[in-house]
Formats: sequence, structure tokens, C-alpha cells
Amino acid sequence: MMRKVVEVAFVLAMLIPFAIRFEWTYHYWIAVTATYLAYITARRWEYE
Amino acid sequence: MNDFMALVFFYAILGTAIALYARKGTKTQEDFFVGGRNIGGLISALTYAATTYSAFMMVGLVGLSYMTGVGATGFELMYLVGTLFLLSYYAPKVWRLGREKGIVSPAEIFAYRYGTLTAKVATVLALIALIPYTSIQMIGVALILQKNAGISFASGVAIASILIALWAFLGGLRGVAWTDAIQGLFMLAVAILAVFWTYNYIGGFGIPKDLAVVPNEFWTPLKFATLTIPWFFFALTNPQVFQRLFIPKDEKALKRMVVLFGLFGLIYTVLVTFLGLDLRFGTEIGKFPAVADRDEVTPTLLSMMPYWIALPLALSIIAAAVTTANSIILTLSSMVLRDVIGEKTRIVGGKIVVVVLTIVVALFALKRISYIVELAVLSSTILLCQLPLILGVFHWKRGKERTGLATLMCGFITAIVLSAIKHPMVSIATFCVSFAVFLAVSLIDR
Repeated sequence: MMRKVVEVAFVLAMLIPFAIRFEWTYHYWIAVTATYLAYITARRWEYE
Repeated sequence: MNDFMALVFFYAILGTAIALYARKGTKTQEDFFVGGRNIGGLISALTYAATTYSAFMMVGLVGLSYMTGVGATGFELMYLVGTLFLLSYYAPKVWRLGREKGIVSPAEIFAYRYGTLTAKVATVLALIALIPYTSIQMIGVALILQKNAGISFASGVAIASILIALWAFLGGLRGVAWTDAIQGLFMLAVAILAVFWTYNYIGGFGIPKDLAVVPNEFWTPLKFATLTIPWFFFALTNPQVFQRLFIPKDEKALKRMVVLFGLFGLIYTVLVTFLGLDLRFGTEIGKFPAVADRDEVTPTLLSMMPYWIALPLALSIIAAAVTTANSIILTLSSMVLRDVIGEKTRIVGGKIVVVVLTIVVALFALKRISYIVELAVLSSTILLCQLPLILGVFHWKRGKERTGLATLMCGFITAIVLSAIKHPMVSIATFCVSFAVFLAVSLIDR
């Protein structure tokens, strides 16, 4: 359950620039995607 | 033969040699269409990436970033996050189901759950959605050949057809996957080179203030949602990438495929959008001409680059188009052969369908019918009607053939009708109608 909440939070985090305007949006989007990728890589998968 | 044609010739010879080497041991349809379910994680990741990232990236997304700013980066990264989100959850389930049920074509997952007629209709919808999309890739290759090699458009279509069909015909999935892997690495390397050259030429990087934030004039929340929804679910709805979930040799390779694809996608997206934004910065400081048509941004850049980088960049755009197109053709062939014709053993039928579909795509490309572009843009929205059925396989026990047929038909009609009247919420409406019909019909479909 916790895993699903975290993953949905990452997806919602991608929408934040539409709610709050800030000039480093470009870097923010790259950072969120990179962090999500790191999370996917590190977390346990079903077969592990 | 000029230098570019010589480069294309070398590319064709190299790809053919790889496809011939890769085809060893291809005896059954399972070998031909899904590589015998025995592909390693790295090759799976690179073929997934090369299939996903078409010529749209280096032409369309560069132009979109140039014209509309960082929203284009958000759009493409939202696709990537969505794909990772879906794959990290569904990829192991689809992979296991594929092995357990011997599923080879993506539509067979519908046949297993919603009946063979649903699989047939899903195949027809995939043909309607993806043949125009593949034609656009072929037109792109033909135009690059016409401009850089000085040949006619028709000759360009003929060469593009051979490039697209040959490696799938010779080596099936293994031929496509191995050539995809080499081309994917080439696309990435050339993109890095192009960014370095452009950064040095412009003399820095910056984003004009009005393009550094969203929402802006182009990227309203509605526009972002409309464009993003079909792409967010691309991994489940587009058969050419869905079929790739069957190919890794074990679950470790499957995880490696997802993670390495994510890494490729992140790097490639950042490079491509950086290029578009940097060129816009160049326009602001007078180093790059102002371009009014966003599809002309990359051609303008190519015309300004030195020979040694312009030629590989043009070839990388051809590679991006070919890797996407041949994967689509191979997947559609598996669907036509297994789900419509019903031939599930011999691979010669697969080879014939690869040739026939390539000829159909070439005819579309030669005609250049005006509605091809509209249908190509609409492709992912049309395929969105399959989403409830795929999710239903794993989460919803109700619903059989009537549910499958009603969902596909209502979703498809919604997409076509709303697109014809240019309704701004076409993808959102298709999404909602498909789910509503699926739930409603499944409750009475026993």
C-alpha cells in the first residue's frame, strides 16, 4: 500500500508546476523523473 | 552516389548483417514475433526505447520545445513517468500471463479474456490507428532522403520501405531488436554530439522567461491533460510496446528492461528538449534565425551544422523512424496472422504479412492523403479504448465478448467523431466513454 501511495505521489508531483508557477520548472521536472527512476531501481520487485 | 547516400547504404548493409546474424534459431512464430521469450535485459531495453522514440523526438519535440517552452519537457517526462509507473506494476503481470497462456500477439490477451471477435476488432483498430502513424515515419525518411541524397520522393519511399521491412522479414523480433539496440545507441550518441555543438555555437543556455513556466499561452492545464493522457497509458495501449513485455528471458531481465529504458528515456528527453530550448535562446540573442513553423526548427539547425555532424544527425532521424516503423509492422503482422487469419504455427505467413503491410504503408505514404496526419496524431487516442479491457484482465472479473466489443467500438467512435469536429477534449472524452461503457456493459454481460 505504501509503495502505491509513493508512486502516485511521484505522478502528482509532476503536476505541481501547473498549480504553483516557478522559473526552475525545467530542472524540477527532470529532478522528479530522475528521483522516480532511482526509486523504481532501488525498490523491491515482485520476483525479488 | 553522394556522401549521405553512401552513409545510408553502409547503414543498410550493417543492419542487414546484424539481422541475418540475429535470425539464427528462428523456427516458430514464438521465435519470430517475441524472440522465443529469450531476450536479455539490455537488448530488451534498447528495443523498447528505439520503438517508443520515433522521429517525433528529434523533429517534433525539438520544435515543440522551441515554440512552447518547458511545457514540452513536462509533456514528454510525464509520458516517461507514466510508463515507468505502469510498467513497474503491470510488466511482471503481463510477462507472466504471456508465458502461462503462450500469448504472442498483443490482441491474444483480449481473445483469452473477451473472446476471439474482440481480438479481431482490436486488430482492425490497431491497423486503423497505426498504419497512418507508420506512413508518417516513412514519409519522414523519404523527405530526408529526398533532401540529402537528391532522389525523388517516390524513390525515397521505396528505399524507406526496404529499410523498414527487410530486418523484420529476415530476422523477425530478434532482427528488429538487435538492429534497434545499435540504432538506439547511435541516436543517443548523435543527440549528445548535437547538444554539445549547439551549446558551443549558441554560447550558453537559457530559457526565455515566458517559456520557463507553465501554464502559458500554449500549455494550459486542459491542453496538457488532453495531450498527456493518451501518452501516459501508451505502454499498455500501443501493441508494439505491449508486445515487448513478452520478450525478456526472465524477471530479472524484465526489471532491467524497465529501468534501463527509463534511463534512456530520461537522457534522450533531456537532450532533445535542451536542444529546442537552447535554439530558442539562440534566437533571442541573435545566434539562430527565428523559425515560424515548429517542424522547420530541426531542418534549419541541420542546414547550419557542419557536414560531419549534420549527416549523422539526419541519419539518426532516419534510424528513429525505421526502428519505430519496423517494430509496428512486425507487431501488426503478428496480430493479423494470429488473431485475424488464425495461423499460429508457420512463420512464412508472418513474413508475407510483413511485406503486405509495408506495401500498404508505402501506398499511404505515396498518396500523402490529407487525413493521414490527423489519423497519425490521433493514433494513441484511438488505442486508448483498449485500456479498460487491459486493466480489466487484472482487476475486474466481470465482462466477456459483448463488453470487449462495446468498449472498443464506443471508444473508437468517440475518438473519431470528436476529432472530426475538433473537440478540445477528445482524449479525455475517449478515456471516460471507454471506461463508462466497459463498466456498464460488464455488469450485464454474463
